[in-house]
Amino acid sequence: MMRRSMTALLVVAALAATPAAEAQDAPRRGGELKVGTYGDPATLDPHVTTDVPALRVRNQICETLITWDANVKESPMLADSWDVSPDGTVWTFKLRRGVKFHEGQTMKSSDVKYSYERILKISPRKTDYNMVKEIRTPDEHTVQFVLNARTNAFFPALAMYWAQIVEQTSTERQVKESGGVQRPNCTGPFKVADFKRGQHLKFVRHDGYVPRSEKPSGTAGSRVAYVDAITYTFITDANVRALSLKQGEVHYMQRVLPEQVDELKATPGIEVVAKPGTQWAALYFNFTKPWGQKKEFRQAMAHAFDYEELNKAVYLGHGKANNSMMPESQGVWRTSEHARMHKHDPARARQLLKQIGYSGQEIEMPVAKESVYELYGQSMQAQLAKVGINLKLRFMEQAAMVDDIYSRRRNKNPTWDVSFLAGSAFRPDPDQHYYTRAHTKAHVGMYSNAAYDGLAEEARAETNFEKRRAMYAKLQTMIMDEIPVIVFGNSPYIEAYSKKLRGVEIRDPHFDYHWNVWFAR
Amino acid sequence: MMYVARRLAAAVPVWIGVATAVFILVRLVPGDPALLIAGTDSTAEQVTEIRAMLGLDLPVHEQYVRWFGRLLQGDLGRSLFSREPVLRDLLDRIPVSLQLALSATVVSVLLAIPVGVVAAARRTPVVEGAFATVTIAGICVPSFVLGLILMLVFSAKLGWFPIRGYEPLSSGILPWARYMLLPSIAYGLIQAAGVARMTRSTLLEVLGEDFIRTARAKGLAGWVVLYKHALRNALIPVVTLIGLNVGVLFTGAVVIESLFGLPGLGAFLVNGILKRDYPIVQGAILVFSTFLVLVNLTVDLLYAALDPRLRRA
Repeated sequence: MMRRSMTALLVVAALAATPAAEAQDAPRRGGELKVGTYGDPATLDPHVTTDVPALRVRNQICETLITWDANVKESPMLADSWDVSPDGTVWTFKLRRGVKFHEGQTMKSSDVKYSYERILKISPRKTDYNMVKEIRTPDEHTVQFVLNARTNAFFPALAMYWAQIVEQTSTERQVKESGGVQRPNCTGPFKVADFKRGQHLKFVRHDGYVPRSEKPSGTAGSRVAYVDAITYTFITDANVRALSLKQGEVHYMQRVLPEQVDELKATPGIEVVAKPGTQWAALYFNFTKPWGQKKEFRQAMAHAFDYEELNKAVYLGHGKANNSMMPESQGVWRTSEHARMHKHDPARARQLLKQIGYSGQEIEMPVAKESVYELYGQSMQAQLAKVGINLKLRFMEQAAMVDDIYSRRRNKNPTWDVSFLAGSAFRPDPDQHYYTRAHTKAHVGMYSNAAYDGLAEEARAETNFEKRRAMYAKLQTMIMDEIPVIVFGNSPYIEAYSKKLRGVEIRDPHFDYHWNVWFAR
Repeated sequence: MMYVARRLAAAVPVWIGVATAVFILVRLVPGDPALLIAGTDSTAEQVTEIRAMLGLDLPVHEQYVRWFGRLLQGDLGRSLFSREPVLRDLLDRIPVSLQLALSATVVSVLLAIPVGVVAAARRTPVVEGAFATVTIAGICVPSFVLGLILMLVFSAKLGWFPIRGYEPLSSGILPWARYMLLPSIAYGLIQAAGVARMTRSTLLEVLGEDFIRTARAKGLAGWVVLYKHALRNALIPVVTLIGLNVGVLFTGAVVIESLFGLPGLGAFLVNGILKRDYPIVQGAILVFSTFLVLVNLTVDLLYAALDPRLRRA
């Protein structure tokens, strides 16, 4: 009898608890979200800077014509629909109606035209839109982009973080009064309330914002500003950022270091998310130098590395060993070819080196005296030493290193034997990997392969997704066979936040976004 | 007044020399701001466009003439990265660095001079041993280490102060002090060690002078001899050191500013250097050099105020 009563009591308690638990997690409005960010966005002008700290905060307040869903597929945002002419040169976008800017104006096609004309005039990425010959506005809700020629580079570029739409009159007024845009008048779910450079930045909910009706997916779909405000505090030191999170001074910490993960995970009330991102790390060969020109040498290096061990040494295992130019998060484009890895085979490496008469000559590599570069450099040096390759690290300051590696930008041949670069993959389109990093016009070590170039250019112009995907698979095969570059993998995207938050999604290359995020009761 | 005017006039060629030297030096350092702005996934075309857009493709002498011409009109140009006016950013940050430097100086002086006086007046083995240990430790411990310790104890553990950040004086003295106290202590204590040692050694020298012996022979009280006669003379070189320290504190605060999240000039300059943002580097260094000229002038005037013999000369 007693046992039955206890069971009944437990069942009732469980049933009673379930709605309360659900209520605890149900989206609700209110609260001020405090974010510890690692960089000061020197400006909020959407068309002037491509600094990552600036992009991350601007994502909350400004919007683009299209954006990406969770599968990195282009989706509607300020444009509801689009079509393209048969020859691929005229793109027509139907704009979403009734969209309000932060200051209350209704978005019109003239604002879109103004924004893109401004981009073409002052943006550091204006050449991404060089294919645009003319922008037409047949009516208030329609924009047409007329291109010089058919190209696949145009459409994805509309989703980029530096192609955000601003209101024309208020932007012109701000530029006239102060030479720049201090408070962008955009369409996003949040708007600027206060900005003190070097100190903090505050956004508040944009009450005139109407979310799209589609289910949220990636940065696409419905965006609801549940929190009343977001305050970003600029904390450059990662340890101080972590301390601020642990003390409750911030609810969200951007950019957690790999070595901080275990400690933060062990801290009550804190959630840590560590995912491989799209930032890549790669070794480039100099094809103007004797060793770089020898395929056997490049193959020997590819076999010498233990890519999983490198991932552990540099990212404590939180990154992803990956020899593909394309990271895993750009999943729709990847094929089985992109999953291929160079075999870790020190014996084969030694055999190849003996074949070409390499006997420990110095192989010089410029390295920045800064965490990731230094860690990679020293780890690579140790692994290569095991097969007899003498990698000499030339330490220098990061900006000087970039200058040295990109000597060809100054019309000079590079002087290094191999170079290590880590970069971002903002555009989730294979072109930025296969063309921008390995085409004759772009490879930092002067690699030149007419067959590769031809296929990369063809892939740029191809409009059929499956055909294009197959082309990039072939290009990946060529990268693995010719080895102009060895990609080590993708760095992790690690962020931490208070368990009081719900709805947090962290997805590189979308970065963090704070709409659809709320405080639990 | 004539003396001040002469000194300021003499500073003008120094200022022009510094401006020109910085302009040249920053361009000699390897690193292309256009490439850094464009990013490593950019094309050569994008980098060339940016260089042209920012005027970096012009011959260096032409860039100099344009920049110097604007400088004479009070225009320090715009950041290559943010395109925001450099002068406005500097004016936002100068007060913060100045407040930190002056607060740290106050901490340093309030601590160092009494400690130095006690060490000179009471020359027992215990006092001398303790003084030597504390001051040497103070000189050797970096300010950021002390800052971290203070942060961990008083902010993280005890919760008495915020971990980092800044409130302007316009928000009130107490809110301002809550954020400024720990960085001022961390920064000031390190300077205090040097000032205390200088105070002690100059005071010991003065206490050995004939006029002090005369004062004691006349029956003056010990504290009168020490504070009214000896200390005043001993302070002259100490004032020089404190003045020079203010200059060092103002120009060298980047680590403390970064640690405590103070939006000062030091961190701004370092960021500008790392990004090769030429207008920011040029503007910030001009501010620092102007400040140092003014500090040196102030120290010289204070010197004359303390020592009537210098006024007559």
